[in-house]
Amino acid sequence: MAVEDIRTELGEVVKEYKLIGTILRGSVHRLRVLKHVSGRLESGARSIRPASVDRAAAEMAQEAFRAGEPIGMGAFLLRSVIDPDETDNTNAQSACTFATNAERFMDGTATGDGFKMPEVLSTVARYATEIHEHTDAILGRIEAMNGRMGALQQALGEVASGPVATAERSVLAYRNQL
Amino acid sequence: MSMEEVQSTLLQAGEQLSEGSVSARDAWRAVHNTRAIVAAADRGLDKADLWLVTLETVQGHIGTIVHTGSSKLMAVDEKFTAVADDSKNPTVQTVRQQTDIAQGHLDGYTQVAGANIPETLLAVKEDIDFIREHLAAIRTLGAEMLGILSVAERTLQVVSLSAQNAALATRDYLIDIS
Repeated sequence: MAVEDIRTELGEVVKEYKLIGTILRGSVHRLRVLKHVSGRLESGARSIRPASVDRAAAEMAQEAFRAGEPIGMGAFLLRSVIDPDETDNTNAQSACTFATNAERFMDGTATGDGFKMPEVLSTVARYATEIHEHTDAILGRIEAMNGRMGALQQALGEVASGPVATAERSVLAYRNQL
Repeated sequence: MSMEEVQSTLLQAGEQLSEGSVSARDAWRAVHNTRAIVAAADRGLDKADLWLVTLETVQGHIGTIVHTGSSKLMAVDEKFTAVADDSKNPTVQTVRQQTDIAQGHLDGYTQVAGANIPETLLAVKEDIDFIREHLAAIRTLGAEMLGILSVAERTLQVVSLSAQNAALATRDYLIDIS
């Protein structure tokens, strides 16, 4: 092969190395994009993070407890002065029936769609805690993933600027030697 | 028990039941708010899922880039060797060595900047899968929570109404016996 042909071929090889370097640096750029997306995901996960759900569930339980206390007391007081089986007064009977109904729903003796109110409250609290735990796991993993993406970014950058760039320069030097 | 004591007890019972009715209504509002928060978190999940898809796509692109980089290095090495067969020339040796080093990094035979590129890339994929699984778990918990909260809402409406009716009937009974 004539020297000029070899020089032409080596010129092509230099271009190839340059292209590989560009491709690898492109992946470094993509990783930067990826970290940006991961940041959006993290803020999304934080918005799902149910600190607010926890608070709302606690507030809900407190309010229900507040409702249960006076209803139970009211029903107890009524029964202390009215025997619904003995009285003929329909208002007295109604008062006892309604009060007992309300009391039974609140203490879980009666069920709504098969769910007892105290169980509903504890289930909601448990779900809120579980959701919180899942969100914590997601946030922890996003942090670890960001670390890995940073390492990848550095590694690919170093391959592009290290051995690939050195090879490219060396081919050019060899071409100039001919 | 004297009539006065009965009247006083009924008065107290009516007040307690009335207070319980209002509190049950407040609890209903708290449940309603909790449902709204959980529903909002669900919309956050939709966004997070979208970001995950983007993450996965870009992660796939980087995987392709690494693979392409490795293939191109192999091809360019062959091309270079075909025209630069002077293996004793130090510049030629440098090109070959650096190409081997770059390929070793991209294929994961050697680490660069403390990272194994293909393994780290795979770990990022596992991070994405992990996050997706936990987001799915949150979605399931949220859906179940919404169902239970709607039961609580309906039950508290019944409780509030029953306690209110009990308070009214108690007052009517008080009038009856006065």
